[in-house]
Amino acid sequence: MSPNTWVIEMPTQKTRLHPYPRRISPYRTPSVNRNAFSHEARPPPPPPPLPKTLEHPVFEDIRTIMSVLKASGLMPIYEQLSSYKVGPPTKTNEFYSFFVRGVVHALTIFNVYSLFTPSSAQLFYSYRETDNVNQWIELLLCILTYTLTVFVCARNTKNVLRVMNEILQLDEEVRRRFGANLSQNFSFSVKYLVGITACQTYIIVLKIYAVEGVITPTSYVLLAFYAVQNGLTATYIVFASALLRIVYIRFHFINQLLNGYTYVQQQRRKGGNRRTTAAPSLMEHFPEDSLFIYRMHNKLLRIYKGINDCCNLILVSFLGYSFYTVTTNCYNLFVQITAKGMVSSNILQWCFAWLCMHVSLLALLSRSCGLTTREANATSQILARVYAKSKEYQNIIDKFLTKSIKQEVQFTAYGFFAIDNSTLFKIFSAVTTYLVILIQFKQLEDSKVEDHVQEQPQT
Amino acid sequence: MFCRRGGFRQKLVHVTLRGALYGSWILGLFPFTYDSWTRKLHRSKWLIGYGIVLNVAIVTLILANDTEAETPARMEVFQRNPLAEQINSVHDFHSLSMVVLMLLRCYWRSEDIGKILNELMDLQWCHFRQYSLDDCCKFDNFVLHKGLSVGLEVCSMLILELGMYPKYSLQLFLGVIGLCTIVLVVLLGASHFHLAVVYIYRCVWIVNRELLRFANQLAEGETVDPAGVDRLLGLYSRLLELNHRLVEIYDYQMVMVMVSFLAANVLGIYYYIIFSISLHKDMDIILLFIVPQALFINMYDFWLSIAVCDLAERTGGKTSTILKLFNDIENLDVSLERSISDFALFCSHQRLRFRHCGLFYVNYGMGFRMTITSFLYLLFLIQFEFSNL
Repeated sequence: MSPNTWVIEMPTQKTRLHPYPRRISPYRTPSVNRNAFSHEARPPPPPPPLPKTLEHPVFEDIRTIMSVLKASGLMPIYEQLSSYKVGPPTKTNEFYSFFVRGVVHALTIFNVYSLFTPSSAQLFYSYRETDNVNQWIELLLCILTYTLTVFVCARNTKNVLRVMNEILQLDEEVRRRFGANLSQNFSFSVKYLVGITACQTYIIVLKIYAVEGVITPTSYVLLAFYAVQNGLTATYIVFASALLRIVYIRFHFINQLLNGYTYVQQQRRKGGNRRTTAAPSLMEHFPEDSLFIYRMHNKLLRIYKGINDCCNLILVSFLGYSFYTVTTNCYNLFVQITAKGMVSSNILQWCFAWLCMHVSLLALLSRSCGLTTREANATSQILARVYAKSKEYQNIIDKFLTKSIKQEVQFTAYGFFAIDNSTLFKIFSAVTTYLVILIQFKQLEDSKVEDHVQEQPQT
Repeated sequence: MFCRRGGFRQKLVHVTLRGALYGSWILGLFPFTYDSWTRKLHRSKWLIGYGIVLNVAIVTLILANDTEAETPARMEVFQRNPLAEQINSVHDFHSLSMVVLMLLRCYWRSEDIGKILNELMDLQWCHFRQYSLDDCCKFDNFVLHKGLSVGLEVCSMLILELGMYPKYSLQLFLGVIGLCTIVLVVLLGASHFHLAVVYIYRCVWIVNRELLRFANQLAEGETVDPAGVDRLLGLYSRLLELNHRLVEIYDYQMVMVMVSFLAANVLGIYYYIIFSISLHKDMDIILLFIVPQALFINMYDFWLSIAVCDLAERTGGKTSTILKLFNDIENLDVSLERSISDFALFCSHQRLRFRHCGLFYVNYGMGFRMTITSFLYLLFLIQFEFSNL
């Protein structure tokens, strides 16, 4: 037991796994190829094939985003030991990640140096002085966020692998018991990846067009690295959301499993069965299923917490950066729209591109967190509905319910605040507050200038 | 309670704790004498009298040698912005009332504090002595950080007071010494609460570790005595009750200290902005080093006081999570299952949390909200300053 690092050490599985007969999945349609959530009834499929060969890659659903993160050194290039286990990266791959991270830090130092010297001055020319300061801070925040992401990822290599192995282990157990392959369409991650790339390219092109005169190589490097940093930070956020969706699917699976034991579901099934064959006792498998579900739930909570711990700091930093960017861009938009006859389409497009990217990322993150949290907390609610089914099983349900009273789980940003759907609302209300303050400052500034102009002719 | 353990870090922790104890005795903040035979603390009226006399003398010394108003930098800021002067006088009054309240509460409730400390020592001696404490790194880290922060705060106060004056005099030295001593009194008074919290945290951490051991034993097919779980529940409930009493005693002091820290940070940054931007001063040692270091150390100490409460709260939350591990154990003994259920029900209805004056819970969430609010207040103050330009 390592000092203070123990959170919850799960009891060894060897002692817990007993030779259960293979049970059918919540929808009574055992199939490895079946999506766990396809509700349409299918004819009984052929017996499940044996576990696939080692070539079958793990986390195939999110492989595109993972390959981007692996190439950029944010994820370890792990070795696949079996269909349900990944191992630490080889020395060469580890060296590659280390090298990439080194290059990133070197470029970061170069960029910070450029920001503090006049060599990057040509990038901040088109706005008023306050806007230049805003953009300068935005760039610094972006550098800070990405550097923090790289540091945290490097430190959490082992934890990420542990979380991945736990997910795979859980999948293996579900597959062995129910024959269900828990996969879902993660095409959103690819769409986001394309969207982020397009947004960043568009922003850079806009910036290049906006700069007057010949652009120096330093500015090119600064811009290109800025785009890469933004893109990769955004990609990491999409990855975190995808991981949360993976956990959500597993929570949903066990919840569906329990849902099958609720009164309404059983009535429905009984009605269906009356027309076909006599149903076996519907609660027959509940004791063994409940033990399995409780174990899965504990494991999933541990995975959920593991993911939260891995990206705690990154999320705080990203949310801060995102909040700042959204506020400044909204302010810029306001200034552009209210300015009489001075509307610049370049700045408008720039602001819209930033807003689109950050708002969509915030929406994705809060939605994924909200979904997973809701599903994790739903288990006890569903179980409470099973409670009245049969007196003999009440003590089994009691076991779970007594330990779930007032024990809602939350996905937090370093404990500062919970991230769920309400976060989006909170961020936008904060943006509004700060926008009002900024506009008040602007009005004060304008009135000062006007007073100054009026005073001058008199003197 | 202060038993020494092996290792350099443990020795350092031991020295820090001893330092806090002797410092409190010297400053009249700890009006207890220790009877090593009965292992009990006894309230001493002589020490209370000594504390009152000493602290009244220190406050008088400060008031008699108040040279703060003569600082040129401060004068400039106040001439530039009369609002800053008014806020500063409110903050001074608040600080004085904080010192008075801290000392009065300390003496007035000393009997209750003594009972709590005796009970904590009793728990430590009778129930937690046999467990290995070397693994509890967070306890050691917190004690060291707290010791460091108190030391840094006093040093930063010295630098701030001496660095801002152009010429030194005996009156200045007396005033600064008095000010540093009273700051030390406040910091040590606050750290008594934090150290008690961190002791409670360590006990809860041990309870969690024991519960986890039981869960692992059961998973491996071994048996666990239900009396062990009941004993842990008894200890847990005693710890929670102690915590509740402790928070109740230190309610007002901690609220005052937190408000003072936050106000000092906001005002510090505000003066800094007026001095550097509005008065167009060049960057010198005051702007580059003296003021920023005071701000950083202040923030560090403030965050440390939040972090210890959050640490204890999270550890209390982990107890419930560990109890969930007993869910999927087959053929659990009925009496053991009942004991675990009792524990789980107790955890869901009583939690290790820190709520001051019924106003707010102290944890990272609250710390974050406090920081955001301070930033907003700073913005409002700057708007006032901006409109005066």
